[in-house]
Order: sequence, then C-alpha cells, then structure tokens
Amino acid sequence: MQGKQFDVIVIGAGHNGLVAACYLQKAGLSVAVVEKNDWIGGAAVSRELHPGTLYSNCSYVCSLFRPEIMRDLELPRHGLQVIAYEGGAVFTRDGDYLASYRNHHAHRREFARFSPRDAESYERYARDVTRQCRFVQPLLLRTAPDPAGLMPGDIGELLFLARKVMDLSARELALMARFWTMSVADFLDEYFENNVIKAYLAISGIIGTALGPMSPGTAYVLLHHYMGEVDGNVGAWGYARGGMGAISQALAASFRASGGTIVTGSEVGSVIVRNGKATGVALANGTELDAATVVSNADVKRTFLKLVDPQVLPGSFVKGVQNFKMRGSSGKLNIALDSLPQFPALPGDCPSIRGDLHFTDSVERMEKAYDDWKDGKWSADPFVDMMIPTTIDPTMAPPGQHFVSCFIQYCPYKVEGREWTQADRDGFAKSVLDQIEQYSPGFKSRIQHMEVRTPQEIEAEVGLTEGNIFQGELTFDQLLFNRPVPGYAKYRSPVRGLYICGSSTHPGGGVMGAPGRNAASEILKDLSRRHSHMSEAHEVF
Amino acid sequence: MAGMKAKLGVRASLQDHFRTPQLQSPFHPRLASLMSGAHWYDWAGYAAPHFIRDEELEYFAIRSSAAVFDISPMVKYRITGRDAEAFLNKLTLRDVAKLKPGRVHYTAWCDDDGQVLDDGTLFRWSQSEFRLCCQERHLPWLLDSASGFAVSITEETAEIAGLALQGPTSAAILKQAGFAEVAKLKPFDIAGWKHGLFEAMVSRTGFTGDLGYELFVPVNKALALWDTLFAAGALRGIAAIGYDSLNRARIEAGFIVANADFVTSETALRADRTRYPDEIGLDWMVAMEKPVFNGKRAIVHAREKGLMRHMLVGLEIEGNEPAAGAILYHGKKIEAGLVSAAIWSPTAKRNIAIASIERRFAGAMANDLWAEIYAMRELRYQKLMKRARIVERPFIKLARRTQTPPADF
Amino acid sequence: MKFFDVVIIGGGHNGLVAGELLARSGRKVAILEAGERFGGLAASYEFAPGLSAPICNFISKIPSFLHEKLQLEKHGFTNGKTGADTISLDAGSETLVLHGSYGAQLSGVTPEENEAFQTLRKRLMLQARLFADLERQVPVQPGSASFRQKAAIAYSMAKQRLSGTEEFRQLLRMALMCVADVTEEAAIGPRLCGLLGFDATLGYRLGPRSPTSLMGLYSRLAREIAGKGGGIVANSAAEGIAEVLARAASASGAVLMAASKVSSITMENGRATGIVLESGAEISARHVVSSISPIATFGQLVGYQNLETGFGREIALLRHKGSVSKLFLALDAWPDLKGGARYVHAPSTAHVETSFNAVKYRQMPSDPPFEFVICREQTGKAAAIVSVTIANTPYDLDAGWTGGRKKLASSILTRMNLLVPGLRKSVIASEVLAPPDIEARFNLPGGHWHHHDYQSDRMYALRPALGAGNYRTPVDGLWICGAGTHPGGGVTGLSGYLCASELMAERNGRWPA
Repeated sequence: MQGKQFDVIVIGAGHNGLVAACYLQKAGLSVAVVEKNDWIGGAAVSRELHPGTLYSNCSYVCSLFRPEIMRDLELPRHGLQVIAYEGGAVFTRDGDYLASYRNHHAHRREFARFSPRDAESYERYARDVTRQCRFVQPLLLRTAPDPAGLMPGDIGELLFLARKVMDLSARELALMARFWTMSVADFLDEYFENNVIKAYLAISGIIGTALGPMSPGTAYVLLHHYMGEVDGNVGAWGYARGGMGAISQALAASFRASGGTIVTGSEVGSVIVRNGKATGVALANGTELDAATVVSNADVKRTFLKLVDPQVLPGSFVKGVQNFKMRGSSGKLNIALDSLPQFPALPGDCPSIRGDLHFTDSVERMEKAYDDWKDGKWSADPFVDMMIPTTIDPTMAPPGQHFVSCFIQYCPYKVEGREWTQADRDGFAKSVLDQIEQYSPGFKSRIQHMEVRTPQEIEAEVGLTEGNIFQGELTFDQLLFNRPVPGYAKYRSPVRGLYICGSSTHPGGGVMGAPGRNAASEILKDLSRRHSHMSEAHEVF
Repeated sequence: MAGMKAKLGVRASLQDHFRTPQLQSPFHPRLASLMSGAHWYDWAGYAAPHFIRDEELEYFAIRSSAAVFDISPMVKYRITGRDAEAFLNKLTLRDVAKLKPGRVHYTAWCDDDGQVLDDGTLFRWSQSEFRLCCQERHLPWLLDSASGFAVSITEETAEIAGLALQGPTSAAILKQAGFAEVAKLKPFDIAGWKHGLFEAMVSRTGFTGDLGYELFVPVNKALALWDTLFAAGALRGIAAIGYDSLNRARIEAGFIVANADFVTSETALRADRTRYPDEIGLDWMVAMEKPVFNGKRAIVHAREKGLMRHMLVGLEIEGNEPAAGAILYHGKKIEAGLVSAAIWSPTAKRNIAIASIERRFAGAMANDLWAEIYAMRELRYQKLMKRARIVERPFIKLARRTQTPPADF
Repeated sequence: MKFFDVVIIGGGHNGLVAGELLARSGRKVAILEAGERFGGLAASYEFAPGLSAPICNFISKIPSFLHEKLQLEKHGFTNGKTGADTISLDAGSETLVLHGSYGAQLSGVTPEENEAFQTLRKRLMLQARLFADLERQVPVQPGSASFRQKAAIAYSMAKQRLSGTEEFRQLLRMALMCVADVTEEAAIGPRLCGLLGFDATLGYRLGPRSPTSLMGLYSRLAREIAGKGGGIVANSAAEGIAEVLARAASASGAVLMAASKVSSITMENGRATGIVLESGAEISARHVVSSISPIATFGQLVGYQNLETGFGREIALLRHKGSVSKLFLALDAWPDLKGGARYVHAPSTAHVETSFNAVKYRQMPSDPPFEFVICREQTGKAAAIVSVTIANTPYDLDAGWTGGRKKLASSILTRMNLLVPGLRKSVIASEVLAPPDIEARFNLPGGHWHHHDYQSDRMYALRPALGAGNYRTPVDGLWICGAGTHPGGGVTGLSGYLCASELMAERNGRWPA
C-alpha cells in the first residue's frame, strides 16, 4: 500500500464513506478507504459475537437507504437483499397489545380496538405526514443551498425551494410550518385520543434523538422514519438479509470490483494540511499517505477537533463545530437467544412478533424516560425498540436460535457526569431486561450471550462522538443548510481538499447513504469530473 | 379496576381479527353458493363479488328483469337527536329541512376549503332520525362536525344488511313477496315492510338509473330477506350480480363514484387533486341560502373569483372502443382532461364516458375534444385518436325509473 | 335595541386600545367588560379586603409610536426612560443585577461573564429586531400576500441580511433553538443561564431545553426594542395602564360598559350582527370585535355549531392550559428589597427545566422558579405588597388545586424566606391565584396568560389558527384582537392596534381578505 499513489483517501469505512468512495472510484479516481477497525461498516455491521449468530449490533433496520445508490453501485449484484417485515406491536400494561399490520383493514380494526375514532383519524394523519414526506424526499439527494450565499448555485437551489413552497396551498403551507416545529406529542394530539395509539406512533419521533416526545421539533423526526421505502413501498421498513453488515459488505464488494482499496486496522491520526490544503493523512502508526483529496466519514467533531490541527481552521468554524450537538441518548442490548421468546399477550400466530416490539404504552412514560436522561441517568423505565430479525432472516442464527436487537432510549454518554462503570452497565441492562421479562416471562433464561452497548462503547468502537447515532442531533438548527455548520453545509471545509461525507452532513443519519453520495457529487464538481455514473434522483410524482 | 378489566375483555376479545382481514357480508353464504369461482374484490374490508357468473348476463338482468346487489359493505351512520337536522345542514351541501321524513336524497359534503369529502345518500326516517350512506369512513369528521349539536352518531355498517333490487321486474317481485305498498312508493320514498320473517326498510333508490329499490334489515334477518326475494322472483328473472355489471349500469345512469371519478379530499396526497362540488357536477346541490355549512365560504369565494378549474362531463366518443383512462386533448394536442369511467353502452348503443376536463375546454372549445385510446390487441397497442363530444348525463333515461305506480314489466 | 358601529367584547388592554382607536376614527364604539373593572389581566386585583396588587407585575412598554397615537401622555401615562432592574436572588459571590435594557449593564458578575453575556445580548438583540418588526405588521396570510406585505417582510429580512453574513447565518441557525443550548454555547454563568431560561419560558409551557424556547426570549427582547430599551416597567395597583387606557378610550367617545357579560354573538346568515348580554339585552353592531380568548369567543359566544368543522376543530385543539400562578403577599414591614425592581429565583437551567418536568405530568414542582416585585401599599393597611409570579404550576394539577394552593404558597414562602430572611413572619395576608382561579375570575379558558400557547406553531399568521390570523375570522363581521392573536401576550396593545387598523381599512368585510 505504501508507495501506491491515491487521488482520494476516505477516512472511515462506514456506509457513507464507502458510498462516497464507490462513486469517486467509478469516476476514474483512485481511492483508498482507511478504517481503524479490523472490520468495515462503521455502524452498519453484522458481527459474529456469539458462535453462529450474526449481530446487527449498531443499526438494525433498513428503509432509508436510497434506491438510487443501490442501483448505481449494483449492490444487489454484490449481495444486498432488503426484505420487508410485518408491522410490530406495543404491549400494554393491562395485558393487551396494539399491533400494526400491513393489511389496511386489519390495521384499522386493530386501532379500532382501542379507539374507533382514532382508527379512522389515522387516514388523515397518514395523508398529512405523507404530504410532508413528499415535500422533503426530493431534498435528500440535493446539496442544501446556503441562504446567505450569493453564488448562482445557491440562488438556483433557493429558487427551487421557493418554487416548491409556492406550489403549496395555504393549508399545506400552514401544516408544514406547524409540522416542522411541533412536538410529536402535540402533533399526535391533533389526530388521536388514545394513549396507546399515540405512544405507538410517537416512537418514530424520538428514535435516535436526544429529545423527548414532548419536545418541539420531534414531529419532523417522524419523516426520517416514514420517508423510507422498500421497493417503492413508501414508509415500509425492512431487514438487510444477513444483518446490516450486508449493506457495508455489498458496498465494499462494489468498491473493490471497481478497483478501490480498503485498508483496515489503520487508524488515521491526523489530516496533513499544507498551505491551507489537505495533502494526505498520517496514520496513528506514523505512516503518511498522500492524496490531493481527503474525505472524512468521521463525524464533524472528530474530524475537525481531533484529526485537523485547529491552527489551520478559522476560529468561528471551530466554534461552530464545538457548538454542533452530538448527544448520545441511546444504547443497545444485542442478545443471542437459544429459542424464540414467548409473549403471552400476543396470540401465537400473530405476525407482529416479526416486527418492532415495544413496552411503553404511553407518551408520558416515554417522556419520563427522557427526563431521566436529562438528569444524566439511564431511564428507569426505558423505551425499547426490540426486533428479532431471525424470525424472517434465516442467515443470522442457527435454526431455532435467535438474534434480538434491543435499541434503548434513553442512555446517557456519561452517568451523572462520570464514566460508565461495569456496575452501571449491569444496572442499565437490568432495567431493560426487567421490562422485557414482564411481557415475556422466561426471556432472561433464554439468553446465551448478551452485548451491552452504551454511548461510550458506541463512541469507542464506531467512533461516533458521544455515541450519537445520527452523527449529530436532527434539530432544525442542525438540518439542511445548518448541518453541520452554517456556511459549510456543502460537504466542504475551510481546508481545501478536505471534505466530510458522514451523517453529520445533510440530510443526516439513518443509514441513507445520501450524505456519501452528495459529498461525492460535490467533490466531482470541484475536480471537474464526470457525474454520468450517478443516476438522477428518483422523482416523487 | 373491575371496569378496566371488563373493558380489556371486550378489547382483547377482538384481537383475533388479524386472521380474517377480509370480512364476509351477511349475504356471503348465498353469494358464494351461486358464484362460479372466487371472483371477490375488497370493498371497504368486505369480500364483494366482481361478478357471480357472467358480467354481461348480469348487466342484462339489471336492464331486463331484476338484479340483486349486496350493498352491505356500504358505510352507514345512524344520526339521531334533537339537532340532527341542523347538524346535517351544516355537514352536507343540500338543505335537509326540505327533506321530509320518509324521503331520501343524494347529497355530498365538503371540508372548509370546499373540497368534496364524499357523496352519499341521506335517509330521513323521522324528524330526528337519519341514516347517511357513503363510500368512505368519516367518523372523526362527523364527530367533530357535531360539536355544539345535540346529536348522536353511530356507525352501523356491521349491524345493517342491505340489498339493492334493481330492474324492470323489481316492483313486481316485491309485490309478489308481500310488500303491498310498493305501488305507492315514488322515487326517493321510504317505507317500512313488515314481513312475517323480518322487518325491512325499503327505499325506491338505486345506482342503476332503472326502476329499483334498496332494502335494509338487521344482519340476522339478511338471509331471510334474500330467500324471500329469490322465492318471489323465481319467475321474474331475479339474479344476483356483482359490481362489474352494476358499474356499467351506473355509468349509463351518469352516476359518479368517489375515488374513481373524483378524489376525496381526506385521502388526496396531492392537494391539487381534490375538487369543488361544482367541478364534479354537484353544483346543483349547494344550498347557498343556508347560513353556515362546511365549505360555503370557500365555494362562494371560488365562484366569485372563478377558481373552479375543472369540470365533470359526460362524453360520447366515436367508435366502439371504451376509453377508460384515456387522456383527452383539445385539438389533438393540448391536454384537456382524463376519462375516469367508460363503457360501450349496450342500452344506448353508444360509446360513453365520464371525464374530468379543464373548464376552459368545456365551452366554445368543446367541439375539438379528442380521446387518446390505447386498445391492447394481442400484445400490441392500437392507438386511436377519437373525437369526443360533451353530452348530457344520464346517458340513458328510462321512463320506468320514475313511473308511479310502476308497471309490471 | 342599541346600535353601535363596533361593539368590543372584553375590556382588557387590547380591547381598550382597539376601542380608543376606533372611537377616535369617528365610529360609535361600545366596550363591554364582564367584570367591574376594566383592564383584564393588566388591572389590579383585590386579594384581601382593601389590599390590591397588579396581576401583571410588569407591563411591556407600549411601543412609542402607539404611545403617541393613543396620546397616553395626555392621560397621565409617561413612558419611563429605563425599565426595571432584574435582580437574581440566587446565591453568587455578589448579587447579580441586570441594569438597563435587559442587562445593558450587569453587576455581580466576573468580567469574563460580563463580556460573554454582552456578546450574546448583542446578537440576540439583533435577531430580535426581526421579531420587533414582525410584531408591528399584520401577519401575511399564506397564499394571499399583497405586494406591500411581501415588501415589508422582504425589508425586515434584508435588514437582517445586511447585518452581515455571519449574523444572518446565526439567525437562521438559532431561531428555533432551545434557550439552554444558546446560553450554554455563550458560556455565561449558571445564574444567567437560569434567568434567561426562566424569561424565555415563563408562561410558554416550555422548558429551557425545549427546542424553540429561545423564541420566548426574542419576544421579550422585541419589547425592549419597541420600548426603546425600557422593555418592561413595574405595573401599579393604584394607577396602572388599565385605568389610563380606559380613560383614553372614554375620552375618545367609546362607551365603556362594565358588568356587562356577553352571553352570545348574534348571527344572521352567517354574519355577526351584534351580541346578547347575560342580562338578555341585545346590542347590534356592524362589527363585533372580541378581545377575549379565541376559545371563549368561538367556543362559547359563536358556538362550534356555527363554525365550519375544520376551523372549529383547530380552535378546539388550541393548547390552552395555563401554567402560571400568582401569589400576593401583604407585609407589615418593608424588607431589605428595592421597590419596582424585578426579583427572580431561577438558579440554573437544570432548576427551571426540572420544575417544567412537573407540568408535563400535572404535578406541582417542588421548588418552582418565580419572579416578584415589591411595592408600597397606598392605604396604609400594610407596609408593602409583594406580587409573585410563579412558573410551571399546571392548570390540570392531578392532586387538585384545593390543597395545591396552600402547598404552593408554603413552598414559595419557604424559598423566599431563605432568600430574604425574615420575610415569612412579616406576612399579614396572602392569596394564591392558580390557573383555574384565573380561568374563573377572568373568563379565560385554561387560565392561560397568552390565551393559548404562544409557541412556534401558533405564531404569526397561524395565531390563533389559519383563517383567523389577520384579526378577521371565518364569521363575517367578527374580529378578534386579544392575546390569542398575533403578536400574542404581554401588555403591548399591539393586537388591539393592528386589529383596529385592519378594521378601519376594511371595505367589504369579506373573507378571505
């Protein structure tokens, strides 16, 4: 590898880094991806942490990954398969459950068990949210314009946005203005009366955020979970067959097939900057790699506060990066079970067990879980998003055995300001397992192996600062042209030749691949390279 | 606590609905036994027949003898109370004060923006009792509209079974079955029918533009009603039919169907797809003399400012190729609209269609309208550009539809 | 039956301002007040026999252009040059005081903290200028903006853009942020963070960590700008703004009718034609202007049955549960405090946030933040009157307010006694006005100061709802001008002024404009 010359070095083999690398390599550049871990994938990995069982131990479901990218990079040919799953359920404290079904009438009748009115209000709710999705989706694969900028590109993009807004009716405009700033709890109150239904729908407003369902701005987060699709089925969620690592593996295979180089087990120590221009990277072991273009898939804080000498950056930019909010708010329990857990409330043939399972049946319980986090504690009564992908993916565990992914909110980066101890980790895991055990007696006894991940583990292993899974909060001050730093939302940085392509950039996290593609597009523009291998974003009709 | 448990009991007892996402209508046993296969489609969560044995023969049953169509899946609301009339006056476009007890009228309702939410029939049993029948579910809208009124609203779709008996011999069959009052029923009249086995509500209404009746009974009397009608109609050509033949009849009669000929405003994902009543031919319903009703301000405003951009029209298209889904052009070039329903009319012997066109092409420019029809012929499209003429709806007018007392055909 | 050109429902400050302006224009105006006194929440309240205190401790200075327009000077009301000092009661090495226009000068802080605060203040003031501009404009209705309206907004935005690229970017970044993050970024000390967090959220039903909570502070700073740097001044029990405005309205020829509670708005063919009083008397009018809460106006006086469903649904959904309580104290001795100043207990962001948590679950916070003012008692029955405004006390307290009032008074007094030793034993009379009390006494559903939540989704043209955002309503002839309309609460008179100017410019009275 030494001695070989590269045009581009990508720091970090996360999915966005790989997406960017693929597009750049396909444009005829010679690209090397340098990854600190011995494996690739960042937060989209499948790891065999228990013999025979693959763990999607970070991200665990797939919906937002842009189909344009899958097509351009021929990911299906390189092994990627995304399989849709059926609904899910929230268990109630009174021994019942509320399920979600793919069949429209079953879905309505299920909601009607709790409130006939809400069952029908859901139609209006779905319509309104879908209208918002239709507005936002076309923005995903576009670089956000700088509203303070005066470049023709900015003005063109601003006009594009303005035209989109002008096309809206007064009522749509009003809904949009409200939707973007409301809390998911208030938003749901405008449609629904039943607490269980609201709790179930509020989930998509908080996953991954450091906000509670009553925090303004969380209604918008719904979109990040609704605008995905599985094969054009908008709003559907799926599993990557073989775990989330299948996405990274397919990307890596595509990258290598087009001649790219991936170096694992090599941590980048710093980005070398000469005369205000990036000239390569220095590995932690001292090796220097030269390249005229350096692309960092690491989050914006790690990139500019750790890898780049602050002396070469403008003070206001450094301040902006420091001000960027990356708050770890979630943890995970990844569990190998010797058998399928039983949920007495759920009829044995109910398909919901193959979807997302939850145990918080009111918005208030979810909000209280958030209050604990604000005080620096893990939630005593946590919100858990539990999935058992092995119910439909036969590749992840031996027949009859199961992999269970429990995503947990809220979990602080530091416990009341101090580092996590083993006792803390045990206490955190216990709070989750105790909750599950209430609804699935015998769950604990089925456990063969369990991995506990707090934001600290996520930071240490994946490199996400403070363990924030979106590489930065999805609040309005950190979206679009504000992401990550106002004036630097176009994947470029104050250092010429140094770019960022992670979820810290527009449009943010959720295993979309969009930041990586958008960054590649901007880099190719700077290098005056062709874009012909980059298909147009699918239109939203 | 005990109350909560009991409530959970009801709730939990309904859990297993997921095993049967498609319900069966109370007439299902009879329909299924007559059917030649499994030609079901989904109507509001119920299995409903596309056809029973043969669409074409079923169409002629409507026009020549008597056809029985199961309307049980139609959404039905029972609206009662002191303010029921006032409530319905605010909810719907027409003046409900003019609807006498024992009468039915066809109506529609809008949101605040004057966009049509649905159309349906409103039955008035008495001063304070109504039934509203429609295509879509509207419980939240009805409940919110009822704020401030002494009125109670309950959905009774699952409790009431309904049959449409349509066709020239339908009156005779009812008479034969023992319903003497049938002779007196004028179009849109309602009467009670006390039969030995059941009590039915009969209205002289229908969706075929023919002589016909609709009968409603509690679900546990559904099969008794069916059997009574079929026994009485055995010699008068009674036949069960599916939606496909009914659809032909309704197009001939010029009736529109929600979410087929227009998009209801509560389901539209694209705000420009919704319609004012005037844009789907329902302007005659709008009772402007009522002080307040949903959509009034917006409709007044749109009429004043000329904001109605579309128009629903009946078309006669040259040739014999049905133009369903065809794009309409002005001067064969400028896109002018879309055909939402079209058939070759066996009764009128014409190629007819219901279409939505931009208003500016409906006036003087209407004589240069063309339908672009793609006729699939053994894996090849035959592309036709056929002249379309705007004509009056209904496409067929049958004297027997309104004749009272009806003749025994 | 009596006839007026305009009948105004509610004699609060907005009703009085609108009444004055409309009467002065030559229209025949009646202002109907349900209570005995005019002024609504801007008036004073007799909490014990012979002892009165202002309900609103502080009033925003009436913007100077409006001050002149209303000729308040003539009626004996002077717009003071400087606003009230704000004094933090919470422990530090020195007492923290914000002097001048929202801390134009600080005392009791380190030089570093002072510099950090001034940098932040400067930036926020610049951003609040946009708010101050928008507060004086009739909101542009989505889809129907006139060229003049568009130009006014473009001008306000252009002013922001001309303040520099960096400042403009910061505005677009910060506008929807939470106040806690902003103060944390600025690295000002915990007491200032607590104080700004308190000021940004008092009455808004948000915590300092709630995104969009910075808007509350903008709103406050906009008043500083409108009042030319003397944003808030202490209200007075004896001769407050309420009395002055009532006198001004009266002098302009408006008929002021106290003890005249309106029971309904009469309608003819969908148009408001007048009102019926609870006494049964009817008054007809060409225009009816309601300054009371939109929920009461539409829900009670018009009736949902007379509104189209979508609009009625929006009104019924307005979040209107108040969370601010009052505690009035009469003292037999003047404590070691400065009259006319604003004292605040809000030691830190976490403190304010924790007390807000309680509101979410309808609980009483254990140590709610509060502000108070102390003033002389006029009749000599007491040495001093203290009027305390307490944040984060939920309208819908789970345990009920019956025991809640006592509990609240005791917890506030305990805290005050710690901050001002000896204060508790000099209390000779006290009363708590919880949100349900405010609801009952002022016919204000939810007892909400702003009539309904003043949050980002219910501002500007969407306040109170689409279709009623420019003081017109879907009921022809009916106008609204209370705190439930743009620009919301705070005693500025702007809603009344903007409504009156729209009404005067009206030609055919048709909706939409």
